[in-house]
Amino acid sequence: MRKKLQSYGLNILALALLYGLMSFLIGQGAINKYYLGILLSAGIAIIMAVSLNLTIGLLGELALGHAGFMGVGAYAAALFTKNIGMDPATVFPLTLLLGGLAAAVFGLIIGIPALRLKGDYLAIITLGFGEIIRVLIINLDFTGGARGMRGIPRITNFTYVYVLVALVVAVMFTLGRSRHGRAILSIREDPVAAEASGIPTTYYRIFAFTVAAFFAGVAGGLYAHYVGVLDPNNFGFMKSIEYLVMVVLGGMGSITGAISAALVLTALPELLRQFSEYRMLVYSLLLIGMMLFRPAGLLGIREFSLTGLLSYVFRRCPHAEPEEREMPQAVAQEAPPLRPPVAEDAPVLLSAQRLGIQFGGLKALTDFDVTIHAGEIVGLIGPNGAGKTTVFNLLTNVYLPTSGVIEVEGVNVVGVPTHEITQVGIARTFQNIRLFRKLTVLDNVKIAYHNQMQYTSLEGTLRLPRYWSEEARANARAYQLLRVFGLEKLAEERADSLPYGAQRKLEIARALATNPKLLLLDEPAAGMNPIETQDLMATIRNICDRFNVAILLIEHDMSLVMGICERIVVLDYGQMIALGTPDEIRRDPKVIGAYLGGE
Amino acid sequence: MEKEKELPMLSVENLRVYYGAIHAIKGVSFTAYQGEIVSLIGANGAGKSTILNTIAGLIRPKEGDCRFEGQSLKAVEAHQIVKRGLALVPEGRRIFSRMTVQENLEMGAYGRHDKEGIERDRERVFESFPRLKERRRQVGGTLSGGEQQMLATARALMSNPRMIMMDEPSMGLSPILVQEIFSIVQEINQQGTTVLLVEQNAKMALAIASRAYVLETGRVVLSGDAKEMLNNEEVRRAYLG
Repeated sequence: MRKKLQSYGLNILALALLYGLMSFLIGQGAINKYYLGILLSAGIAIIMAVSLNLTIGLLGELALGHAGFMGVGAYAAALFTKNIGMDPATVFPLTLLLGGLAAAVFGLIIGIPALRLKGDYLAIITLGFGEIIRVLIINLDFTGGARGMRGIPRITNFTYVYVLVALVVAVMFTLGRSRHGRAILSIREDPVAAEASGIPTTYYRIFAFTVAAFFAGVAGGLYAHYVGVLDPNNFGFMKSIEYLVMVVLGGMGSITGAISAALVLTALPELLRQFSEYRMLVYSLLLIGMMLFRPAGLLGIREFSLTGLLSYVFRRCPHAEPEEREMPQAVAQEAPPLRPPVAEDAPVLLSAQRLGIQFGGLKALTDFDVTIHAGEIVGLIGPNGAGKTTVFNLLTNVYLPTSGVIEVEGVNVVGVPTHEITQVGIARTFQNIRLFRKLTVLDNVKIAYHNQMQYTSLEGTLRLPRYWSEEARANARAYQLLRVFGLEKLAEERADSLPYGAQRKLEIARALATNPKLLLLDEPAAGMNPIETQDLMATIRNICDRFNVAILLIEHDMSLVMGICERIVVLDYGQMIALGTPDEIRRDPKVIGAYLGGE
Repeated sequence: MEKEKELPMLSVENLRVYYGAIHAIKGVSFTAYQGEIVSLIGANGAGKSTILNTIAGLIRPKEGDCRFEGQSLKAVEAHQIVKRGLALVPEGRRIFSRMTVQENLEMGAYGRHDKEGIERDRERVFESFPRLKERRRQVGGTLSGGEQQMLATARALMSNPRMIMMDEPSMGLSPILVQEIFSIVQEINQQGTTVLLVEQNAKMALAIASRAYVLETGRVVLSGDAKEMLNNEEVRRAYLG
């Protein structure tokens, strides 16, 4: 934390120095009005690009109406200024806030219906929204209609733009590196796994979208009071596309990338003035060239950091150590026990009765009964297509059963949203590994701690004490958990760079991080050779004792199933055909016929 | 052995493959003769799939060459390799999940133009896989795992290959289906198709193969007669459990 604060201080110092320098140059006239104009436009573009990056880069949803939100903010702010009756310059911060809030309200209104849908729908809906805003502004009286709104006092100056750019960028950074930011990233990486890790994905989709709209509104307010005249056509589809281009060019997900792209793309058309009519052609060619040679954008998903640069320049500078390096030592002493011990006499943990589901006319599962006691290892086997994964999807409420009840410790959990199932105490892994691939091993685990941290998005953004204490605790717990799986040395690696077996382990670790009472493992040994499978068996036994969880596992590898399961349930064509100890199952003629086959 | 005198059907010579900076295959050589089942076994990450994908033309080697029936595959594109009679059943099945079973099979015969031959082969695969015939109008993605594996195998057979490469056909399948898939592999082989088999399930792979190569981190560490390998203490300890 101390190093982190040092680095914040360093950045703030650098920002202040840059501000002083720029103000001096402007005051001296070294930066004339023309260049100042370009600078202010670029600043506004940076706010737009960085906020759009939240939706497109971090959340991973394509939104095409960002300029529409800017328009809402611009008009709201301008109307406020013209009607307030006070000196507009003194209330300007309030004006900008209002512009942002107006846009955020629209963001919420659009977001709630649109973000329930997946994928391309959002693009189309936001596209429509942008056009609606433009047409509305043209046809309303109080906006000045197609002639535009004139006579807005030109209050926006370098200081306002500079401070707001710095603020917005800082907020994006701190928000992105809080539990809320990780939740948003996890949705981009894999919404299904995010839900299963306890992230309320719909909430965070709308959250990210609304925050992005808010900052677009602020940028709109700045813009209105910079140009002094608003033209509805400036907030149309093409404008939205321009901001989209900035985000893509900068590298989706990279804030500093978006900043550099916004700077370049605002300055470039001006610098190209000498080519007059070929200007746009050159601009387009550059774009195409960029995308061909750097398809991931200027910076990809990397970030430029001042401390990183300094440590690069002065190799052995004390800031050189990335902050996470200090974590491993911090772990050993202060890590609390991962879960309180549970009473020994194994009460019933989960019971499902007469569980069934139909897809159209297909009965995928009928009258499925199972009881799992605390701390037990139960196997679920059966031919491919027998409905094993369907059972998992029912227990985690990915599907709603057409009949039957599921009780966890006596409470019916049918209908509890998937992301709340983890709080009931059920966690799962997936048949085809579903990690948050581009995030680090550590973040994969920390995302699953989401619901065990309480700090609000405001506390996270402002880096208030609760953020530090809860994050430190989560880090310590995550390292402790990773150590159980021998993954602690890989904590800073990207999840998809791990070898296959380690990825399987990480998925189990992530599921355990939600602090479950029941862990569902879907074919954990798939693709492992016999030696790796034996290693996995030991791991499963180990976590069962150590974390005091019950395990329900689907597996085809009979050495594993027979080796560690206390009881085995056999499914065929959606029906339970046998239930018993490994020995009973091995001898059951029905199981031999449907599943095991003759040796 | 008399095999050594004939020309190998497939010969892989000093293959080196990189993924970026990672040296995945470090000079692998092996051969497969007409009519054989050759098996590659080894731990995860040993490079088995990479080798198959390189032979199939999906990855380009940095060094080395693959020769199929004496001809270099160096500059041959993946779809041309299929046309030459060398087909791949990829890991994880990779069926066209929104197409019907029948359409999947038609895609397998994409490079062919002999209508009657295609018709004959379709009947033949339906004979080998009656389940697919029942489900010919069903969309691939709705098949169960075992059926999808059969479809992926049938699709490869539709190109009428002289040699077929199978990447972990038993992955994710129930014991009874694993037995079925292995007997299908044997059947394909008995009908005259050479088989290159990559498997985690080393025991069963060695049981049906004639020769085998053991891979470790991108190198062949052991090769020989499959039955002898089944009894090899070292192999047992490392791969058979």
